[in-house]
Amino acid sequence: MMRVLVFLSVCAAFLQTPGLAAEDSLAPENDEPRLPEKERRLDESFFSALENALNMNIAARISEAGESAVWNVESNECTVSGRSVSVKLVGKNIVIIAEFTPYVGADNSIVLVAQGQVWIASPEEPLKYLSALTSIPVNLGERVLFFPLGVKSLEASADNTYDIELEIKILPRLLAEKGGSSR
Amino acid sequence: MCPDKQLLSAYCDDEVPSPWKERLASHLEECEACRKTEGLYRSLGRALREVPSPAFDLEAASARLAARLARRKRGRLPLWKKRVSLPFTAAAAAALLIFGSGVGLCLAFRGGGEDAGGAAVSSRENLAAIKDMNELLEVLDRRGRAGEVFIKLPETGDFELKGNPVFLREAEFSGGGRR
Repeated sequence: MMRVLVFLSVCAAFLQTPGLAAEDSLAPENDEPRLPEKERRLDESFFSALENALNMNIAARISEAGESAVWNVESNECTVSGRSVSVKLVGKNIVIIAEFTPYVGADNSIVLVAQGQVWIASPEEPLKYLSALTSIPVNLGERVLFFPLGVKSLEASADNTYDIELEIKILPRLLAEKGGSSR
Repeated sequence: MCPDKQLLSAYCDDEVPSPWKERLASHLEECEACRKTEGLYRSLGRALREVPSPAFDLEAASARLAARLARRKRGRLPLWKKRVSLPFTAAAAAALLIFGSGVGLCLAFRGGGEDAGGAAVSSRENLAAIKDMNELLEVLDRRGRAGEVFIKLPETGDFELKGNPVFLREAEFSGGGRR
C-alpha cells in the first residue's frame, strides 16, 4: 500500500511539473479562443494524424571487405502503423526488395514486420532468389539492419567483395522533424 | 442484357471509361427500365448536391496546426534544462524507482539477447520462370507498389552472396563483434 502511495505521489509530481506532462501533445493552450465544435473536430483529426505519423529513416550502404562505407544513400518516408514502406534497390546483377511494416501497440511498443527478397545473377549460376521474413520488437530510434547478401563471417573478411547494408530507424514524425534522428 | 446497379451508378457519375460508356449510352436508349433507374440516380445526385455541405476552413485549420507546431518547437527544452520541482519524499521515491529500474534492466540484459521476436524464415530457390535481370525488373515493375523507395546501386562491381539475407537489431549485430 505504501509503495502504491509513493508511486502515485511520484506520478502526481511529474504531472504537475510544467513542460513534462503532455509535452509532445498538440492540444490547444488555455489562452487560445475556444473553437466551434466543427473546427475543433477538424483540428483534432489533423493533430491525431500528425501525432500518430511515423518517420522511417532508410539508409543504404555499400562497404568493401568489412571496411567503412564506400557508397551510401539516405531517404525518409512517412508512414503510419500498419502501412508498409517498400524499398527497392537495383544493381547490375542484383535486385533487392525490402518491405517494412511497423505496428504500434497500445503501449506504444513497436513491432516491425520485415520482409526481404533478393534476386541475384552470376555468370556461373542461374538467377537465384532468396527471402527472409521476420518480426522484430523495436524501440523508437533503434536501428534495424538488413543484410541482403548475408552477414560475412569474420574469417572470410579478407575477400574483396562488396557488402550491402540497409538500415531502418523509426521515430515519431514530429520528433524526426525536429532533427531527433541524428546519430 | 441490362447493366447492374453499381455500373449504372458509376455511369451516372461519369466514372465509366470508353468504350463501355458508349455501349451503356446506346443500351439506355433502348431500355426503358434502365432509363428509369438512370433518371432516379441522376435526380438523387442532384438532390444530394443541393444539400449544403459543411464548409471547412482548411486554410485556417492549417494555420492553427502550423502555429501549434511552432509553439511546440519553441517550447521544447532539453530535459536537463527543464525546471523540475519535486517534494522530498517524491524525489526519494523517484530515485529509488530509477535505481530499481536500472538494476532490473541490468538483470534483464544479462539474461541474454534472444528476444528478437517472431520466427525468422529464410529460403533459397532457383527462379525457373525468369531468365535474366531485365525480365525480372519488368515483372517487378508490373507488380507496382505504393510508397516505394527506389535506390539505384552503383554499377561498379558485381555483388556476391555470403549467406542468407538476414535482419538484425543493431544491438545484436554489435554483439556479434563486427562493430
